[in-house]
Amino acid sequence: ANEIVSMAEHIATQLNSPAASKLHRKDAAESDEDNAERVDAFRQYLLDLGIDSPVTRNTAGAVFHDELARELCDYLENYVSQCGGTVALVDAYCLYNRAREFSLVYPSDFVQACEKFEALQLPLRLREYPSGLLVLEDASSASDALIISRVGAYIASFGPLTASDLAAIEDCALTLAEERLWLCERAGALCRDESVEGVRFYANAFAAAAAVGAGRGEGDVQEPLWQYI
Amino acid sequence: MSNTTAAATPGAFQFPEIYNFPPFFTRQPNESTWQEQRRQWCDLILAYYKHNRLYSLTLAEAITEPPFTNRQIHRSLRVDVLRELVDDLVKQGNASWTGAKNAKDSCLVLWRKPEVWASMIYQWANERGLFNTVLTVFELANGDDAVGQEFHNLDSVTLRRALDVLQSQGKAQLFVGTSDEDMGVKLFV
Repeated sequence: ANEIVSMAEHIATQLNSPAASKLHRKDAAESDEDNAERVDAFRQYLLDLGIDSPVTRNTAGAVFHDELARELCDYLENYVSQCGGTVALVDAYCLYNRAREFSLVYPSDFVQACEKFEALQLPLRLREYPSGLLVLEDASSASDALIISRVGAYIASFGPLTASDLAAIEDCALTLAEERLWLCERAGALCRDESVEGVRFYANAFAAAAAVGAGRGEGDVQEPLWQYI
Repeated sequence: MSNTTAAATPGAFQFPEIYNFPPFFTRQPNESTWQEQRRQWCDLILAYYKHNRLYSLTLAEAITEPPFTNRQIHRSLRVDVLRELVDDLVKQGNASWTGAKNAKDSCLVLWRKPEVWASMIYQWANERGLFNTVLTVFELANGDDAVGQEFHNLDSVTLRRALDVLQSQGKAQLFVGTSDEDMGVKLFV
């Protein structure tokens, strides 16, 4: 029994090493995800065997983030819905920690728990925009296609929009409004006008023109029509 | 679409609708949107320059004037975007950088390629029986015989390019005079 205990302790120390905890980081490689799962499973076995580890919270890592994820979803789901389906991660974090009062959660644990939402099939999703902005979204209602069609409808009704216009219409944070406009621009639904007055987004007339041109069979012809030999 | 219409094109230039669309003057970050935008700009530049019989542009000056400025909507194209457009035109053979090497601040706008000018001149010379006679380059483009031709009063730099093409095709020989106007040319079969 002593041999098994010392072997288990040796493994526990290795599991708590910086290399092992790296496997859980957001930017871990694909192959590391498999390793991360095995590490988690192993931690769970150790827990079942009742082995003590020098760093208690990390040993509970396998279960801790899952349980935290469930708790977060229960707590935040309504709040996210009330905010129109999307909330900046920092806002969600502050709100949640304020509610916990005494046993605060580390930001890294909060993020790791949120990253588990999809795997645990919970009704919220963590999303990172290309600019680096992190948000929590209602899994069902925050798809790109919905955003694009909504913004397109606003522009059709109200004319070209700035980010602050959109923020006012959707009652959301300015940074989120910007992200949504950039999302529509990346999808080719909108184009931008930059001037001293700021950045304003229009429906993409270039895409419409390109479609007409392709339909006529002009396509990517380099020679302009008017140049005749 | 005849190729022997008179050189002067009457009336004001008809700008395309996109010219009044403010985003037209902003370099679009979306790559496929930009492809369509630059195609429309290149067409516009060549059409505008052809209509107004303009042959060269200096970037820093050009952006303050049509077609690169639209005063009605208070928009101007940025000079670095214009530089990108001229690079595109150069790639398709419709422009050529002039001035200091790599400075990219002035260019020729070849709304008709030198090869096309060359064949027009050659065809005209054939019709008029001007082979094997020496003409001054000036007389060729500006003389009475050239009246009514597309290349009448053609810009001298562009004309020179066209004659260079004929020379490289073995259809002409240029003779250096004391200046460009004195330069002579002989065309032959």
